[in-house]
Parts: sequence; structure tokens; C-alpha cells
Amino acid sequence: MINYIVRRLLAGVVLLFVISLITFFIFFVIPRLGGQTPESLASSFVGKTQDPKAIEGVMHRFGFDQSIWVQYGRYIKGVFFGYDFSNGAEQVHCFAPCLGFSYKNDILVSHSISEWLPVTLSIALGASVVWLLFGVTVGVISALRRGTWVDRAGMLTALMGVSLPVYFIGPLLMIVFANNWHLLPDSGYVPLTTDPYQWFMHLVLPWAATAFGLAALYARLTRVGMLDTLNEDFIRTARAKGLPERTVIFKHALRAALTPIVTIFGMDLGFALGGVVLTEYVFNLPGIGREAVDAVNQSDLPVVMGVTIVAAAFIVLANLVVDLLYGVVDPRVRLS
Amino acid sequence: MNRHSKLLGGVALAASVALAASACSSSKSKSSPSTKPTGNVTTLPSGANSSAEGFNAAVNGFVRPTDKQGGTMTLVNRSDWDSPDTGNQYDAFAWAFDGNYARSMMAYAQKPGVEGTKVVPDLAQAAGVVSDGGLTWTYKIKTGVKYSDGTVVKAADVKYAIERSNWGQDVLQNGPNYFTNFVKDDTKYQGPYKDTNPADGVSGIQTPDDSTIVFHLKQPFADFDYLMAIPGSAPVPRSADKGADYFKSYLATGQYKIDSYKPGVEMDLSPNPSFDPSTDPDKLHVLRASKIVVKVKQDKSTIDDQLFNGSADGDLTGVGVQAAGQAKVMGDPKLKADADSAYANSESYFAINGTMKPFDNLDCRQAVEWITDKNTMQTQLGGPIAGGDIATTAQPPTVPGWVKEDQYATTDHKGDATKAKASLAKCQSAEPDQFNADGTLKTTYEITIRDNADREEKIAETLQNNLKSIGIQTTIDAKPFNKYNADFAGNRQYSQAHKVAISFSKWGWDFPTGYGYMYGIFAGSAIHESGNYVLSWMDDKAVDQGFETALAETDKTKRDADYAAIDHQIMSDALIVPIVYNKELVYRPETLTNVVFSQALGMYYFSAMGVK
Amino acid sequence: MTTLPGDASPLHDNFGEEETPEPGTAAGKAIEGRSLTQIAWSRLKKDKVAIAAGGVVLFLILLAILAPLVTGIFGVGDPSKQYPDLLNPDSAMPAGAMGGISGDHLLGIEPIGSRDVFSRIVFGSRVSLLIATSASLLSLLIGIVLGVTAGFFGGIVDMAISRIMDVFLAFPLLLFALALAAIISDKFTLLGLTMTGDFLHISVLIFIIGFFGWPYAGRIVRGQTIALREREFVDAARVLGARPGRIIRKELMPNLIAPILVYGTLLIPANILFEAALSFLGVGIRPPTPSWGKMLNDAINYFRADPEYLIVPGLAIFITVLAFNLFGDGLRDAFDPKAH
Repeated sequence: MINYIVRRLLAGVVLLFVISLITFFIFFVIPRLGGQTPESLASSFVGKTQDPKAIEGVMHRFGFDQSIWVQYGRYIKGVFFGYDFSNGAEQVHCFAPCLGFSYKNDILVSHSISEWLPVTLSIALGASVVWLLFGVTVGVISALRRGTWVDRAGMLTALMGVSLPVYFIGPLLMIVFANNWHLLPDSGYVPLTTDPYQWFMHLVLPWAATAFGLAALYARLTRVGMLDTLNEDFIRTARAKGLPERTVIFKHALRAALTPIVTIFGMDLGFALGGVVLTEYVFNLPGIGREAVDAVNQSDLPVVMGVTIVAAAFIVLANLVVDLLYGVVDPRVRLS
Repeated sequence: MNRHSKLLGGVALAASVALAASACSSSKSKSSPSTKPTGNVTTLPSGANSSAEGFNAAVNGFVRPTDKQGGTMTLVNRSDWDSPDTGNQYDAFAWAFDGNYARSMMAYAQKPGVEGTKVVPDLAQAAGVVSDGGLTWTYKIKTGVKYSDGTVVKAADVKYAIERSNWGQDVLQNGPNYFTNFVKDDTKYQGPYKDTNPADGVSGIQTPDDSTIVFHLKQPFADFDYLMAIPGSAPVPRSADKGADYFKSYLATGQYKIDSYKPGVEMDLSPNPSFDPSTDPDKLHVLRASKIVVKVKQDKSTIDDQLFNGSADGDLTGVGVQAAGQAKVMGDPKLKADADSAYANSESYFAINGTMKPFDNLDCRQAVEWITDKNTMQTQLGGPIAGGDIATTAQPPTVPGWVKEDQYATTDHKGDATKAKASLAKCQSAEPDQFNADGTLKTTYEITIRDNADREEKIAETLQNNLKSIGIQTTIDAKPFNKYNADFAGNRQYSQAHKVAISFSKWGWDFPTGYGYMYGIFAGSAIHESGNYVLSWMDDKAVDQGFETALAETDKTKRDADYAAIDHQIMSDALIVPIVYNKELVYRPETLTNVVFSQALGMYYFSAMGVK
Repeated sequence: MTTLPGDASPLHDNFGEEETPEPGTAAGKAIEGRSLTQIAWSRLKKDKVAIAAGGVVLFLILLAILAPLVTGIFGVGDPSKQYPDLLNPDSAMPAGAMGGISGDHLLGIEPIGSRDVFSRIVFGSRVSLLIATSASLLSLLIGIVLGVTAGFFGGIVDMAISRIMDVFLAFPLLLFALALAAIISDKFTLLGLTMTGDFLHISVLIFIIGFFGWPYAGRIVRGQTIALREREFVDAARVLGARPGRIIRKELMPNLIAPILVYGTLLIPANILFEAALSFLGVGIRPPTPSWGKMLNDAINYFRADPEYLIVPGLAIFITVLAFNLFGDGLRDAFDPKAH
């Protein structure tokens, strides 16, 4: 078991390594093909004076004057051992795992991410509770009331949910609940530690908008899974044994039907933790997704690298947890 | 607002703005925008220092003037600081806010109207004393001014601050570096970060004692007091400087100090215990709030609602309300009474690339001038109240010495296809290779715009339609605003390769003079291969000659006239198509006290403001 | 990121890798009697919802193709034409109620830009459908080639391809798409071919959406292939000495068509949403070419003043995506009735 986890984690590290390399390549090499030079990259971090000294200084301080491999090497070295950089007046040590500092505002990337992560966590975890709860409930009801109008209504809503993107449903919710009825705040974020009530109120709409499409998907999946298992022999056996219907459904059928749900849930949650970009954008929430998009637009490579690696790590971890959970949900699965 | 098009300063308009406003609201029911008072340019009020209320009150006077300290002032901001370090910043809102925690040598007068474009001493005891035929400027600093840590401010700290922000651009890359252009330096000083010897420094700046600082210039420069109003002259002690990280431990000299600054989130300020009001006889730094909270990176579409519903006291972005907010303010007399519409001291224009065939030909450029429908663009930019007055000159009217003129006048500013086609035909006979037989241009050109302003895209589409009507095909390319000048519109290689013929720009002055507005966007010596702001790309000798004449002129009135002549030259040469002199409709919640619109800063004077 | 293909896409449905080894009883019987397609078609005909949805899809495709004709009939043939006189001169918002809806402008006019919304919606369908369909084809093409290769040959080939898929699947997709789209601007020369304008931007979007989508298609195809590989008729072919190429072409592909067809149909709506998301975030088609996502991106600035301008392109996307999903759903049920 321990052996398995260690092996998976090592594989994950290798994966992150590859991803960091590709990220670096995309953001550093491809722009070069488009005509970007180290000078022009540096000049976008210089104010409108465009002092040649400033451009040269930026190139030197950010390392653009070195080859791409040296730059990448320095980055990786920083991740494992930390590295020293200069703020002009003195050397500052960035401790491992050092993700570098933002070209834009000289803040350590690890520090920035630690400030943005709670926002993304709040959205992703909250929304996942919503979509799991609603999705599975609707799916189970639909399966049990198969063929009735309840089933059809549930499945039609589900299909509509899948077809409604967050950048449409989000503003619609804002118009109705914030602008017209003034029931909820329009957008923005209040940290949990500042005011739990406001935190909750500000997240209700983002949760709803994010969870809608996924709840729909989960409802469909649960329904299919339930219908499949209800036809299986072991359910028939359980019924034949005279177990109460409630036990049959919840202890046996639902449990088996949940196996695929767990898989996807891990993937989806991993993705969500990696940045619910669109939700953060629509509702103006300062999470890692929105900040990463800004960083992309500003060529703030260290921030992009940092967020990418953290997001990918979430996905890798989520997949690992899912595989471990398998053993719990479905005792037949043996990890090897 | 973005760091590359700084909007500083502004102008106020008294009677005629009120007039324009009422004309506008009454024309609301009319469907034709041609009935609105297009092309009117408002004159500047002199600015009495009195209390005022109602629409445009903060443009004409002080709203709820007081010296009393109130509670917490919450400001919201669409963007974030480039850096709160006064030696490393170029954001317009930052310059309007700095007075809260920093004292520059000079500062803009806290006055409405024209008076607000003048500089008054802040850390300095008086304006600079000129000697040696304009080549030496001497300042005395006030005694007893202290940093937030209690140490006393010395003249050497001002010298160091100017050296680090102007000569230390290898580390502090954001701010302006005007001093390097004008101050003499025999030592080829490399700045404090490369040359770490404390004994070294710029030879043209001397501090004979702790309260005197002397500047020796290479050439006379009459606007020198304005340079001292740039926040980079706020003192920084060498021992406390941490280079690019200094903003994290900034030593305040203003009435507040920075308690915390979280980039992308918030800045908190509280009263500076070391601030001594007796060192501030002109009351430029009065505590009118017990705390200031600035929330940055706020959603632009919700900022207005935060102001209307009272969850924020002011908008530090300084670019006015959004479309929805505008409709709300103009439709509600109560809200309108708490709003101002004022010149933002900037101009929106399309620069024509004079190095791009066939636009190197004057007639081709003039064809663009003639066909542009500024009337529609004005409406798209927000109309006369929130967009601006139609522009016909290179400088905005708030620059001293500005002369009203329209060398390409058309009916209602809607453009003139006949004249445009005539110009294009003349161009065609000079450049036949560039044209098809039917008089259309062979090549499809690119119009570059910045990607952060939806309205700019719309006026570019209007221009695209205008140009299409005379046979000039274009595509519109929206580029990231922060790399607009570095990689795209202002990058020679890019603009050549992509046939960029026209680039949008919005420009505001660094200080309110013809030099402060025009030099950076028209002088041949300001052209850079990348990071260029001279988007006409033309090294126009007549314009360059004009700057030389003006800089050598010591008489202010004559110098202002010289700048007006440069303006005329720029328009004759059709380097840019002016669209509007930007105006912003700004809302000031009733919780604010002592509100005044600064013509120089182009927004409310944020360090003069307080709350109830 | 959660509304993008992959998670919101149909791959979670009963073609998912984990439950794959069941290509459907119908598929197995394809060899005898009526072909699978025939069976599916007769089933599909009975599914009223799916047929109706298919009708909507067909209508949308026709609308896109006949865009100039349709808008011409309503007198708004040029989607770039501005009607500045219809704006409220104070706010540059459409004058009149409901975003300026009138007899001449059935869906109103856009704020500030003052162009006809109906004509932009109709022309915008071209971009959405073209990009979504082409990108789906690209994903499927790469996915089929690599999925079949991995599934059929197994071993180290499978390992390698699967790991590549893992890398792709762990990517923050949207960020990469954004970065790539932002880098490639107005002119791009590839292998001596210079692309510009709409052609370039549409090609870039197709490439980005299609290329990053292949692992999802690849996983499904791989799973199906592995399941089929072990079946009797493949074994039989192998024993008879057929070459791998022939086995793939003659034995595997016919049985892969059903899942690929269904997945492809369901991939299109996911890609419509992806394209709109990219446009929403500000990369994609350049003005003045109309696109639904770009309209939504615009509308975000004004929806509090002019909600109509948000609702119209939003509904256009919603209806299109829903129709494709309903049709794809029906198609799947027709091929694989077990789901019902």
C-alpha cells in the first residue's frame, strides 16, 4: 500500500516536471517564434520612459539575458534548493520550494499563490458539495422513478444544465439575484476569516453557477449507474434474501453505482482546484485561475509556472486519492 | 487605466459644461446624435476656493470642505499599483494618491480650476530659486519633517530619492526619468544599485547642508518646478532603501503611513504618528479620515454600484462611471448632483504610421483625417458628458497656451467623403504602385488597439467602416494593453511586419505644459525601436525644430505660443487623428468630504479627501 | 475549467474508460443480419426528441450556410453596418426598450457598436459551428490514430501513448489555450504558408481546441480497442494470418464507428462552449467578424444596463448546444439501448 502511494507520488513528480518543461517552452520559446526578443520582453516590464538602462536592468535581473536552458535550470534549482536573487539593494534568499518572484510586482510567487488559493478552494470545494449532493440525489430519484414525469423533468433539467455555460448562467444569476432582487451580493470575495457570513453570501452565486452544469452531469451518471446495478444479480439476490428495499438501494445499489462517480469526481475536483477560471472571471474572485489568466496576458512567467504546477499537482493528487478511495467504495479493487 | 497611457491632470469647466450638460439631458429623447453640441470645447474656470454643491461642484469649488477627521475611508480601484514606491511608479491614480503618505518637493495646489494646475511647495520651503541664467535651481527643504520611523528628513535623502528613481532604473524601472535629460552629470553615474559607493552620486545635484539642495542643469528648463512635483522627489533615506522591495517597508512622510499592502488585494493606511502639522502650513496634508482602505482589482462593472450603495466612498481608478452607471447618474437628479464631468487632461487619438507606404504621403494621411466620423465615435465613447469633447488638435485644451483650431473641419464632424477621396486621389497619382485601378489600396492594413477597453474597439470598428468607404481595407487587432507599446503598436518590427497603419492611443500629460504633454508622443528623439510611444513613427523635422525653439524660450507666454505652433504643425502634417478630449463622469458619494477635482491630476485630489 | 470538454463532455457517460469493456451487445451482433447502423437508425426514428433536436441542428447548419440570404431578407445583410442614430446619445446604449428591439432590428442593436444583433447572431453561427465541427474532427482523428495504436499494440506503445495522455489531461487546458491564442497574432508563417486574418484566427482556434481535446477521444478509442482486441472475431482474423493493418481496418474500425460517431456528436457542443469560453476570455476571432463568444465577452461590460444583449447570444449558444446534446443523446441510445 505504502509502496503503491510512493510509486504514484514519484510518477506524479515526473509528470509535474514534464509539465513545467512544456509550460516553460510554450511561454518562452513560442513567443520567440512570433518575433519576441529578450529586449522586447523586458521592455514590457519597463514604464513608459523605456530607459535603455531599465530594459537592460530588467533583462539582467529577470535573467532574460541568459539562454533559455540556463533560465529553466535556475528555475528548477530554485524549486529544489531555493536560490538567491537581488532586489537591487541586497540579496534575498528564496527558500525551497522556490517558485520565483513575480516580474510584475516582485512578490514571491509562493506567497501570492497562498493568498489566492483559499479563494479557489472556497469556490471549488463549496461547488463540489453542491454538485455532488444535487447530482446524486436527482440521479437516484430519477432512476427509482424511471419513466415517470419526475424522471423526465430531472433529465431534461440535467441536459439543460450541461448546455448552460457559467459565463451565461453567471451573469443571469447576477441580474436576477443581485441586481433585481438584491438578495445576494453581485460579485467579489470576502475571506472566511474576515466575515464567515459575507463569505458564504458572496459565494452562493459562484457555487450555483459552477455546480449547475456538473450537477446535471452527475445526475445523468448516477441515474445510468443506478439503472445498471439495479438489474444486476447481486441486487436480485439481496431482494430475494428479503432485505428491506431501502437497504437494497442505499447499501448495495447506490454504493456500486457510485464507483464511476468517484472517478470523475476526483478528476473534476482536481480541475476545479486547478482554477475555476471562468467562475473567478465572471464573479471577479481573486483565485489562482483569474490571476493566472492575468499573468498570461502580462507575460508574468513565474506566476504562470507556479499556478500551472500547483494546478497540475492538484489533478495528480486528486487522481491518487480517487484510486485509493476505490478500495473503500468497491472492496473488489486491489491496488497494485 | 493602464500604466502606458497615463491620465494626469485635468481641466474644469464652469458655465459651459453645465450648459452642455443640460443641453444633453434635454436631447435625450431625440434620436439623432447630431443635435448634441458636438465640437464645443469648454473654457477653464479660474477656480475659487469656495464651498459648492450640485453637478460639477467639485470642478468649480470644494464639496463639503472641512479639516475635521472622519472615520474609515474605503476606496475601490479597478487596477493595482505598478508599485506604491514613489520612486518606481507611473500610474496616474498613484500620483493622485501619493500625497497621503509621501511629501514630494513640490505639489499641485489643492484648488479647483486653473489654479489647480499650478505647483506649490510641499517638502520644499518655496519654489526653486533660479540663477546662472536658468541653469541652477536651488531649493530649501522644511525643517522638522520626519519619516514614519521618527528620523528627520535631510536634503541628502531628496537627492538620493531622485538618483534612485531616475538613475537607478536598472532596478526601479517604472517611473519617469526626466532628471537624466536635464541635470548635468560629469561622473556618468550608474545609479545607486550598480554603484554602491555612498560617496558617489550625480555631480549636478548638490546638498551643501541638510536643508539645501541645488540642481545644475545642462540647458535651461523652465518647467523644472513641475519635475519636483513628480512623486519621485519624495525623500528616501539611503540606509532604508531595499531596491525593488522598498515598497514593502516604505517610510512615509505624509499624514498617513502604509500599514499593509497586499498586491492584488488591498492597501491599508493609518495616521502617521510622526507627521507634524506645523511643518505643513499650506494644509496639503490634513488628516480627514482615521483610516484609509484601498481595495484594488475590483470588478469594473460593480465599482459604480459599490459607490451608489455606500459600500465604498470613492473610486480611485479615476476613469469615471461605466455605461450603466452613466445612464443611472444622468437619469437621476439626486445622483447627478453628486457627480462631476471634467476633462481628464488626456486625449484619445488614432496615430497614422507615417513610415508605412503609402501613408508616408501627406495626402494619404489627410484622406484619413477627412473621412473619420468623430461624431459617431464621440457617442460611442460616452457622449459629451462621459466621453469628451470632439478633438481637433494634438493637445487637449487644458494645456496652457492651447489654441482652438480645426484644420479638417467637416459638417458635424461626421467626415467628408468628397474631400477624403480627393486627397486619396492626389496620393494615388503620387504613389500609383500602392493602388488598384479603381482607386482602392492594394494592401490590407492593420489597426491596433488595446484589449482592455471595449469602447476603443467600437470606435476602431467605426474607423474601419469609414476607411472602407474610401477604399482602404483594414483589420482590427486588439493587443494586450501592457505590451501594446513594447511588442505591438510601439514595436517597429511588429508594426512593419503586420502593416500597422493606424494605432489607437490615449495619452495624458506628466505635467501640465506643452512639453509635458507632447514631447513623449511626437518628438523624433522619443522614438524607440520597441516600447515606442511616438506611434506616428515619423521623425518630423518641423516638429523637432519646434521643440528646440520652445525649450530655449524663457518667457512663459512665448513658450506656450511655441507649443501651440507645434500643435498646428502636427495637425498640418496629419500625424494623428484626434478623436476626443477625454472627459470622465465621476461620482462622489455623499460620505466624502473636502472633495475637489484636480485639473493637474485629472481626477479628484485623493490626498485632500476625507470622510464624514 | 469545469465547463470545458473533458469534464463536462460526454466522456463521463457510459463510454468512460473504466466501464468500457462492453462495446454494446448490438455492436457484437453487427456481423449478422441488419447492420448496426440500420438497427440504430430504425431506433432513432422512434425517438421524437432526438429527431426534433436533429431538425434544430439541421436548421442551424442551414442558417449558417445561408446567413447572407437570411439576413438580407430582413434587410440587415451587412453584420458590420452601424446604426449610430439608434443609440441613446447620453449613454451609447440602444435607445428604446429591450436593447432597441424593433421591426427593423428583430433582436435589437448592440450597445455602443450599434450594429444589428440579429445579423451578428446569424453570421456568428458560422464561426461557432465551423470551429466546433472542425476541432471535433481533428480531436477524433488524432484520438483514433493514437487510441487504436495504443489499444491494439499494447505494451510499450500503449505505455508511451497513455503517459502522453496523462500529461495532456493534467494540463490547465484553458491557460495553455489562452497563451497560444494570444501569442499568434495577425500573421503566422508555417512551412512557407502565410496565414492572415479570419483564416488564421479560425485555424488557430481549431488547432487549439482540437489538439488539446484528443486525449479524451483517445482514451475512449483505446478502451474500446482493448475490449475488441480480445474478442473472437479479432482472434479469428489473427489466426487466419491477417496483418495488423487489415485487422484494424476490417475488424476494428467498423465496430468503433458507433462510439466514435456518438462521441463526435457530443463533442461538438462541448467545443462550441470551449470556443465561446476562449472568446469570452478575450482571445479568438477578431473584430469585426461576429462570434457568439465575443458578443458575450462584450455583453459582460453592459449587461446591467442592457441585459438583452447578454441574453440573445447566451440563448443562441444554449439552444445550439442543447440541440446537439439531445441529438447526440438520442444517437447513443439508438446505438446502445442498454442506457435506457
